[in-house]
Amino acid sequence: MRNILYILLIILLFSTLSGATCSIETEGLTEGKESHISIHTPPDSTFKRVEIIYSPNSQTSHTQALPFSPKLSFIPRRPGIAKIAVFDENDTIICSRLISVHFNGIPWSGVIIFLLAATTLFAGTFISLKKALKKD
Amino acid sequence: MRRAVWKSKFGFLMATAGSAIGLGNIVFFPANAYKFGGGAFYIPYLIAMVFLGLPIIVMELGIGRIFAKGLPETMRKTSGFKGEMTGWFAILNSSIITMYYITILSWVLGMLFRTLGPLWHGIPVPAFNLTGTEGKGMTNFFDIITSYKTLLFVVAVWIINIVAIWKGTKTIEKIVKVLVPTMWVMMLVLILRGLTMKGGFEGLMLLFTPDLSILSQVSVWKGAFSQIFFTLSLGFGIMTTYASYLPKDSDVINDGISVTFMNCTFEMIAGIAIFTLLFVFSIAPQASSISMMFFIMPDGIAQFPDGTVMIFGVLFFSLLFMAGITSSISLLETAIAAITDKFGMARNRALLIIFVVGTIGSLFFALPNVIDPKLAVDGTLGLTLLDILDHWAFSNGLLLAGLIETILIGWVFGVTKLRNILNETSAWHLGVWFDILIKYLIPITLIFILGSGIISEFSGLYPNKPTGVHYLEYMALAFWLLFTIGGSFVLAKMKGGENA
Repeated sequence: MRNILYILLIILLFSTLSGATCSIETEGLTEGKESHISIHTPPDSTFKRVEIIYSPNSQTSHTQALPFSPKLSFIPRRPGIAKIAVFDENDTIICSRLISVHFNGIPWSGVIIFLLAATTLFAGTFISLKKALKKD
Repeated sequence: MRRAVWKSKFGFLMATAGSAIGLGNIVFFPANAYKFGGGAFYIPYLIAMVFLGLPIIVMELGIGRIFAKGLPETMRKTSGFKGEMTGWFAILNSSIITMYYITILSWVLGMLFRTLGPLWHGIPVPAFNLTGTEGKGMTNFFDIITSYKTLLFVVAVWIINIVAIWKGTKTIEKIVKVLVPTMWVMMLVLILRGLTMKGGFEGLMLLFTPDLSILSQVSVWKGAFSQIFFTLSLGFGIMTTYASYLPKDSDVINDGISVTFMNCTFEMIAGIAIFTLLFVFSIAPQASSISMMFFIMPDGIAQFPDGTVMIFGVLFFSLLFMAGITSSISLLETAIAAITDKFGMARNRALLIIFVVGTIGSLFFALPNVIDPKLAVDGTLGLTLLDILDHWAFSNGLLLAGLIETILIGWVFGVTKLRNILNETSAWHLGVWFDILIKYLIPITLIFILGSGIISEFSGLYPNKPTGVHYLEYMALAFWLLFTIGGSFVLAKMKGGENA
C-alpha cells in the first residue's frame, strides 16, 4: 500500500495527457524483428523524438530513443510491456501508449524458472499437507 | 476457562493460510515481481522463503503452541516484561493496520457491488477533476471513497468480521473451510481465462523470464525479503495466537512448512493470473497495491469479451474481499486473545470494545475523503494519512516487532530449547542451522532492511510532503510511537485479571 500518492500522480498524468494531440498505432511488435509504428499528428505540430520505454515503472526499465517520423520502423530490443512516448521540442510527452512486445520464440530461461518455482512450491505444499492431514 | 481448540488440523491450516493469503498476495506480489525483473525476483524470493520466512513462522507457531496464550502473555512467559511489551507493541501496531485494512476492504466491497453495472462506465468525479474518461476503475474508485455509502460499507465489513469471530475458532473454522478453498478455485478460473486468451502464455513467460542483471541490486534482495516477511503475516502475532489453539502434540514445524508453501504457491498462481492480463491488455503495473486493485485490474477486465466482463469483475472483487476477510478476522482474533488472556475479560465484552474502537478507527480513515474530498488532493488527510501510518505501522512496525521477537526468543528464551521442544512432536527435525538463523542471520537481515529504510528517512521524513497541515508527517510519527511504544509499556505494566 506504500506510495498511495501515486494515485494523485496518475490523476495529474491523465490530466496532462487529456489534451493529447497525436495517436499511435502499432502492428505485430516482436522482439528482434522489424516492427512498425504509425503516429498520427495534426499538420502544424512539431515533434522531436520517440522513445520506446521497455518495462516502464520497473527497476529493469530500459529506453530506446528514435528520431520522430510519422511512420517509424525499428527493431524492439526486449519482449514484454513497453511504452511508446512521443516528445515535442520542449521534451514534453505529447502522447503515449502501452504496448506488448511479443517474444521471439520460446524463452527457455523463463520456462526453466517457471518449472523450478512451480515444482518447488507445489511439491512442498503437497508433501507438507499430506503429512499434516494424515491424522485428520 | 478452558481454552478453545481447533476441531481439525484442516481447519487450522485453512485459518493460518487464509490469514497469510491477503490482498497483498493478489496485487502486491505481481507488482513487486514486475518491478524487480520478473523471473529473477524468484531467486531471492525462494531464498528468503527458506531462510527467513520458514524459520520465523515455525518460531511464532512454536511459542504459541507451547504456551497456549495470545502474543503478549506468551512473550511474557518467554522473556518477562520486555517480552510482554514486545507482544503488546505488535498487537497495538497491528490494530492500526487492521483499522485501515478494513477501510480498504470497505472500498473493495463498494467496487464489488459496482461490478454489477456502474463499474464498466466512467463516472465524473468533480472533486478530483475527473471527467469520467480517465479510466473506469479509477473514476469509480474515487466516486466510492468520496461517497457516504463508504461509511455504511465500513460498518458492514466490521459487522461481518465480528460475526466471523463471534465464537472464536468455532466460527472462524467454519468460514475459512469454505472461503480458502473457494479462493483457490476462483484463482484457477482466472488463470484459465488468462492463459486461454491470445498472448496469455506470453504473460506467463513475462512473469518468469528473468533479467538476471538485476540480482546485483541490493534493493531487489531487500524487496524479496520484505515481501516474504509481509506475505506470511509475520510480526502481527497471528501465528502465535492461532497456534495457541492447537493441541499440545501438534507438529508445528510441518504446519509452518504447509502454511508457507500454500501461501507462496497461491502467490505464484495469482502472479500468473495477473501477468496474463497485463500482457494481453498491455498494462504496466504501478508500485501501489491500491492502483493495481482498483484501477489496473478493473480496466483490464473491462476489455474482456462482452458477456464475460461482469462475471470476471464479480469473480475478481469477490476474491479480493474473501482474501481480505480471512486476513482481517485473524488480526481481530489476535487482539481479542491478547485482551482476554491478559485481563480475563469475557469474550463478548472484548468483542464489543474492539468493534466500537475499531469501527471508529476505520471511519477515521474513510471519513476525510467523504466530508471533503479535496482534503486528499491537497495532501492533508484521507489517503495521505493512511499512507503515512501504513509507512510506519506496516513497513517498519512489523519488521521491528519481528526483529525484537526473534532476538528475545533466540537469546533470552533460548532457541535451542525451543528447537528441542518442537522436535519432540515433529516429523521433520530442525538442526543447528535453525539456531544460527534465529540468533544471527535473521536479526542481521531484519536490522539491515529496517536500517536502510531509516537511513532513507533522513532525505525527508516522508517523501511526498503534505501541504494542508504543517508537520503532519511528524505528528503521525509521534502518534504511532506514542500509541505503540507508550501503549505497550502501559499495558505490560497493568495487572492481569483473575482468569489470566
